[in-house]
Amino acid sequence: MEITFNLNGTEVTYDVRPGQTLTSALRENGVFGVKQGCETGECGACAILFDGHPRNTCVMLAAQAAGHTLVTIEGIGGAQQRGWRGSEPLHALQEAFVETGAIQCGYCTPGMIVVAKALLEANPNPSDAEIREALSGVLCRCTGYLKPVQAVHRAAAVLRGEEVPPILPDDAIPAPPGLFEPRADEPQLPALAESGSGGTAVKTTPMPTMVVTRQEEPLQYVGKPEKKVDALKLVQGNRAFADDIEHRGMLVAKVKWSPYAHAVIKRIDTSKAEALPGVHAVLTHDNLPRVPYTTAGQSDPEPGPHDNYSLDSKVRWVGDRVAAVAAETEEIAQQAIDLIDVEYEVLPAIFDARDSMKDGAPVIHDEEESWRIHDRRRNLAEVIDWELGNVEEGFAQADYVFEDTYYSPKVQQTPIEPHVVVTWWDENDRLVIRTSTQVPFHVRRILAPVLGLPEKRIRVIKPRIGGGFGVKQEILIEDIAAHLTIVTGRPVHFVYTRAEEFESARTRHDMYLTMKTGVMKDGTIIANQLYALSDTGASGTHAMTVAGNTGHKAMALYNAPNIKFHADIVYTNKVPSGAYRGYGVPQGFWALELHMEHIARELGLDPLEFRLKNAIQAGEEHPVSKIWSEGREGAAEIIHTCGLPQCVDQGAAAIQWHDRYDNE
Amino acid sequence: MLYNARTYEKPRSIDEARRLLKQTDLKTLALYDDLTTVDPARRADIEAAVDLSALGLSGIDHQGTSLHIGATTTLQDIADELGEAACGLLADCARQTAGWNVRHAATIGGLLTGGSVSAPLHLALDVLGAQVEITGQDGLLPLTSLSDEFAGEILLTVVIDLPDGSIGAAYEQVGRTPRDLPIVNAAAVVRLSEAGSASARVSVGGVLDGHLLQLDLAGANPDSLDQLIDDLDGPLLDNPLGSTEYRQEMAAVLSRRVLVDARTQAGLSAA
Repeated sequence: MEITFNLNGTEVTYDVRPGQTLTSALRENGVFGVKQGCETGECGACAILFDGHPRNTCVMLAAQAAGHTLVTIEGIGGAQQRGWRGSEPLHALQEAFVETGAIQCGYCTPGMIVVAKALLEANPNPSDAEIREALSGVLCRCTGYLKPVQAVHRAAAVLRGEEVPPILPDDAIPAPPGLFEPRADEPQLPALAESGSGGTAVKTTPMPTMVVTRQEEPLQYVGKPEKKVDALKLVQGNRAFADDIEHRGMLVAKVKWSPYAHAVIKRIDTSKAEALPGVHAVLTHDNLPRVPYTTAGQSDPEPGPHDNYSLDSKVRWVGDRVAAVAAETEEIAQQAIDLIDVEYEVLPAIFDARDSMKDGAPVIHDEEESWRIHDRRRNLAEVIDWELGNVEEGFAQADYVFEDTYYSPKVQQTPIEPHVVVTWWDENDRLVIRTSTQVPFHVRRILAPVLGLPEKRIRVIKPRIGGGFGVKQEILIEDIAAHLTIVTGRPVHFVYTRAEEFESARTRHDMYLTMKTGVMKDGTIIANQLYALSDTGASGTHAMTVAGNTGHKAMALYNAPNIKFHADIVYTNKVPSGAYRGYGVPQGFWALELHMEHIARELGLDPLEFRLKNAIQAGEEHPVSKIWSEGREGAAEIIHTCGLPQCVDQGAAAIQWHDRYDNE
Repeated sequence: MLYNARTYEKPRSIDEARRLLKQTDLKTLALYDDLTTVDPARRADIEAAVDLSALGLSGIDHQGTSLHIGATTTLQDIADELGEAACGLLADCARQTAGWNVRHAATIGGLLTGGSVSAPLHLALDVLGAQVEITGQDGLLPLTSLSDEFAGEILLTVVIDLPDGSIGAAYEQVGRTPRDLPIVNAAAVVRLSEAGSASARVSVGGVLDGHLLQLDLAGANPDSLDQLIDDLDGPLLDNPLGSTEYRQEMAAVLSRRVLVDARTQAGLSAA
């Protein structure tokens, strides 16, 4: 059906489908400043002005735009650097977002600017609260709202005709008092320290405890606000992201997902899907090579289990892949998915990591082709075990021993830009993979055997990504689009929905963490032990390195002569875990700090003093460095600087700790 | 996306809209606004979308002591225009129901026919005793009568009776963040008759599965609340956002708080 509406001041006519969203229609027609984030109206990345009011286009049908007036980011502000035509002025909001640094990934920036424009047109002098209320429908995962609110204030002033001063270093958030002063109890460090083991002497020169120095000499860039180099394209909503591309004849990919947590595919009938007009390919495990690989974007040699297949005859979680389709439109692709008939043999499933290693537990990876699995019969993807000193002797010597178990749950990374990939054959018959990834070189290396192509015939383009937070440190969807391009010869576009992000992408590893600590009467920790039971879900992606980091970081902060770390990283029938900000550290510190707090309170010690008494200091050797380095040979590392005491001081001051602690 | 939708229609009359919605060969969707309140899991079923935005159902009308809100009136219009009605309860709850850009699209009709029953505005309407006018039905119906039974019919108007006299109203919620969806919420309205007698209604969301808890209190006495909540019967909500115990505890806290607030606004002592 044809609809006509006013887009950014011009009457346009689009040919749209009855169930097509307005986001989809605008993007199909090259209006890429409208971003897709959720399809449920919650993130606001697709916001436009609709008859002057902000609205989310992902929940509007395109047909609903007929006869209305739409303004997108493309209709705000002038074009830049157009050769002999020069540049036209940006909108005051765009200028302000650039000047204040209100942009990080830039994916939500068009939505924010559009919404802010509507606000300032209705209210030229909004309060902080009014700006926050207006922006509350546009989610930002990177920058937060401090800078965007500042930008809107600044733009409002400009639009009111007021002079705005340049942004100076003095406008930055002031340093807390005392930050630049050394602590009175600053330890005197040795001028030279020697350490090492196994006959290897490591000579280091420790630096003093970190003291942030006041900048006296004027520098050209350091300490001064600098415009983000790519801010200009982002405030204009230019085609910066992986999905912002058009190809003639591009097909749309969709995947059929498993409704069962653990099942064998007994029969799969794709005939109806293949017969649907507009469908160009239907892939199942029957018509794809079976190549085990890891989806973890890590350097060669990849340290984790190779237990993924593009499509397999077994499904291991609700949201695992069953089949893939390429079709002319998203609607046809989804209809084809619905027409694929699958018969499953449902198997018992594991939903709690504590059940994975039990006798009689179902074996999740019983296939022989998968490799680098520590003990598949026990669902044990990886094991880590190391000890410094002897913790049992330490516990025996300790005046007190404390033991507790903590749980750190699954969390999804939720970048506003979902996973998206576009694949095509280029003029040199190279397979081009344009993808929202954090690991372009790993994509190429890992996919080469999966696709049956040498690396040199794969070109990966990583445009700007709209947030990743670790979930894009995976080779997650590229293979599906690539297989479909190989089969059809056509460009293929594949993007996850928000629901698919939760059900079929990756999460933080959930862990059960048992801490056991021996403490002397004076508060000295003499032995510290952590057992981590890490749930890697149905795939061992980042299994060993994430849990390794849990022990490496958490067990190093409070130094003790006896330290032990053991991790069992087990499979369950849940969505696979993966990389997420902090990469295993938050889980470890969650348990560690709860445990330290518990011990301090049990012993009647000031929790801060107890921590600082035991915390590692500048000049000391990182206790774990020699024995653990992501599964490789370790090497001694010296802590050269450590700002922890200053950090604790500032934090304590900020929350008036000393007024609150032990003060009924 | 409604990937199985075969038609989109924007009727200009109620009769035409009803005819389109009652097509027996297609699964139809009445669009009071956009897809915000259409459950993503349901979208696959829709074969025909019927856009009700051209039926002239938008607007707020004061008729005597009654407030008539057209079904396609946006939440933003309610927030903007009803700041004074019922001590600001409707406007506040409209704001709390959705962010700014969603409020410009979401309508009261969409909320009542497809949204969560514990949405703040739904709770406000419930506690105020709102009634609805539906095509094919004589007279006004209680809000709770909206159901699949009226498939193919159209919600025309929401009517709220706000008689003269003192009234107090309040709303509170607990959520993961102040702007997040409520886990438990409560609204109270206290009315004083000309004779001076007080009555109250407290509505609580997020406790019962699928519907609101309604407590009518003669005398508007907060002391009677705890027992009523302790004695709750029926399937109680229990999900990762909040356990049954948490929800019951919060229901007691919030309902007491809103009732005390509403009493004060109505000119009564707090308790």
